[in-house]
Amino acid sequence: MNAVRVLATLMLAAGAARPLAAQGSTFGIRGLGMPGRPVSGHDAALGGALGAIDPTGTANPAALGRFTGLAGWGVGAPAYRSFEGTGAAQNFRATRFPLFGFASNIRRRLAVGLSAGDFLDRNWSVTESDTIVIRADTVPFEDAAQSLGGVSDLRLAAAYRASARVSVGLAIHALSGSTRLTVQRNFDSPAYTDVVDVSITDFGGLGVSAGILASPAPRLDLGASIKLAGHLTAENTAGLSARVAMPLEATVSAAYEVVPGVALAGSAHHAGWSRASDDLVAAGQAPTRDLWAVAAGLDVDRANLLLARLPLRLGYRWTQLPLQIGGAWLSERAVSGGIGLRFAGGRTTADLALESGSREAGALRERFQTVFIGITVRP
Amino acid sequence: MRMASTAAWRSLGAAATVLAVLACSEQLSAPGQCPELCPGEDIQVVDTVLTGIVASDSSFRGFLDPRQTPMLVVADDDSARSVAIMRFFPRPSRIFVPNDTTGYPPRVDSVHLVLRLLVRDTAAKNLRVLIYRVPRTIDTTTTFAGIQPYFADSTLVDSILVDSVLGDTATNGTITYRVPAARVEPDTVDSGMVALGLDVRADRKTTVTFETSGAQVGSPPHLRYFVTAATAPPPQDSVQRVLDQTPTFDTFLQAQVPGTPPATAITIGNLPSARAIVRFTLPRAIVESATVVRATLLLTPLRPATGRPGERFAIEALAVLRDFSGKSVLFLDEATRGLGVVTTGSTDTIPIEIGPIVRFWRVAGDSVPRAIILRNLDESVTLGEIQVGRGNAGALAPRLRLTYVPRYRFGVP
Repeated sequence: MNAVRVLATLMLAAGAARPLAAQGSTFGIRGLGMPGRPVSGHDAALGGALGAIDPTGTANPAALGRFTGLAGWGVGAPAYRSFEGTGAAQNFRATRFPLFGFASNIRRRLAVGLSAGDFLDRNWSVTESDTIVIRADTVPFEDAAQSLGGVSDLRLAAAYRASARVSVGLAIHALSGSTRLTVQRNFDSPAYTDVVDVSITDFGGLGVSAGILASPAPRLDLGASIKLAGHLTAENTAGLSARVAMPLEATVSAAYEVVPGVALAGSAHHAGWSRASDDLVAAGQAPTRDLWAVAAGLDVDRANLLLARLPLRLGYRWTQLPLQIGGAWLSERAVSGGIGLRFAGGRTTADLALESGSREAGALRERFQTVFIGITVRP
Repeated sequence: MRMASTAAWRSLGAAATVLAVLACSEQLSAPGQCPELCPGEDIQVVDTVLTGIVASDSSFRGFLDPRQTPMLVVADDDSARSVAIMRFFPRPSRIFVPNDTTGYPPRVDSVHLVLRLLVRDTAAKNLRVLIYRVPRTIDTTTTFAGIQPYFADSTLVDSILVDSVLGDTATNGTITYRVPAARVEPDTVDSGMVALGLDVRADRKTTVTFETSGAQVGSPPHLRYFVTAATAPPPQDSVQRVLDQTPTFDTFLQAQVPGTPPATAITIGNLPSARAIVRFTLPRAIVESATVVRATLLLTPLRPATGRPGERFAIEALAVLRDFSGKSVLFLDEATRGLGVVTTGSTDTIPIEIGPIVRFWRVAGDSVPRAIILRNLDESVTLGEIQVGRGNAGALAPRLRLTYVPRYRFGVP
């Protein structure tokens, strides 16, 4: 019964949401879009340092072994961005839902989970004004292009607790999604009618992942995972199709409780996006590169607020992105902080995080502030 | 335990509600930083002139004739010579006084003719409206030539110097003019009928237009008899009445009634009005795949446009829903029609914007013919006529200047 309620709630929330996407970015217009960041509120506050240790994350299926009962979780992420190009800075805002999932123990040592996380974010919109000479008249116009949608990573995972200290996990991933690309030209003259053209692209693909979570020493957790997706197929309403090789991804994470209630965490992630490069270049896109991402975080669980425990978290991350903008590679860095709140006798956890950072490529820069609101329910 | 579980679900529901509200406001658009942050393909705009686009065309006349219009056109211009005629309701042979059921023959004290002038050319000075007495037998069979003997000095009732009534700058207004009562007495007491004809003269050839009884609103001609019951017993013999008569029939007669449109031209306008149907053969790739942002039909006049001097009239293009030639079913949607303006005397190429019609063809597909009807937009109130080259007229044939955007070449992924 509880499992049904978890599923129903998650589906209701997903239905009310925009397409799964972590944070729209103007840079997402290039290549396959911005890689998604399906992190929990807890992990986001630590800059993503939990990585392969986070049981609600999508990186390591073995981490599901941390759940000993039914659990469901979801994350919402309102984001505020400021884009600085050659003109004046422009401000944007959007709210996304990058992660949903639930898990349950079906045997004493076996847990399974189903989650939906953001894999590729293809939400962007750009406008450009110019003039064109038609019939000897100079006609001002504004071009607008907008993409809505993305690719989600639907993961069915299982974790086996081999011992009290070691869990292993396997998962299959279905990459699925679509984007609606609208191109529009609005003439600033009543003599000319505006033009709108729309194309919908459907995406699909499969992948597998495996991981291990271990506690080799007291107060030390280690996690490692590897994920390989095959090819992402894309087909649009104009009948064009393409296959793009997906990266081999590896994540290692560690968390160590230095003193009781104070933990340090770190994570490193590598994604071989250069596998996609040839396919993208063949499709007329810019090449991609392998990327590294590292994160470090501090989790202090010693503070009290109104007699209740209030975890405080800080984090930093640096991430390479596979996109090339005007010949310059894109990268981003961010600092983060957050708190955790417990309700209903600890059955509900609300993790709030604020992340502030920037991503840059050459003279183009985008600053962002993202609020992560993560809810985990263990009914 | 149960309460804690319920509280957990409530917490999740509250958080989902907050996020759903936050998700309702989005602001995504960034200024384009081309080429780095713009879509790969540019929007292409093509501007071209298509010739040989007319599959067939036909012109027809007789959709409206002068009797169906709300105007009386009177012109002494040789190219558009016309006079107006009108027959008024019978004037009562008796009038009644209070407390007396006996009717008494009216004694006419004075008569006013009231005309509503719609348009005149103020450059034509000393404009006079000549009023003639014509037979009360006038009807729809009366012709210009047949009525001419009655436009003679012997039948002249009076003439109105328009400038003295309206001033020399007013282009329209109501003329109320006292005419000699004896000359507008009914032909016979029994019939009570009076019929009049109108003609004009000025320092130069000109045209004036009066309102008719056919107008839905406004003021038709009036013949107002101010009468007294003079033969009634005193003191009723001083009772006065106004017998206000409006026309039972009025129209204008043209010296040269436009005939069947010539076989060499697409003919539009005049009265009786002419319309033309033009059927197109257009590249399907453009009409069905591209977005037409502007389409201008170019018509080449074969002769100067005719009509009242200085008159500007609009040619209307309407999409055809069912092609029954001259009696086709039209798509009477103002947003979809095309318009072009013509000035009398001009031989300039006539541009008619038919972009909405071409886009309508794309939406409607093969369910509607690629055909339009060309007609004078105000064919009931203008005399403008244009004759343009037909589809087989070579360089003089209709052309279509088309500005379109081919389908955007979306790429994948």
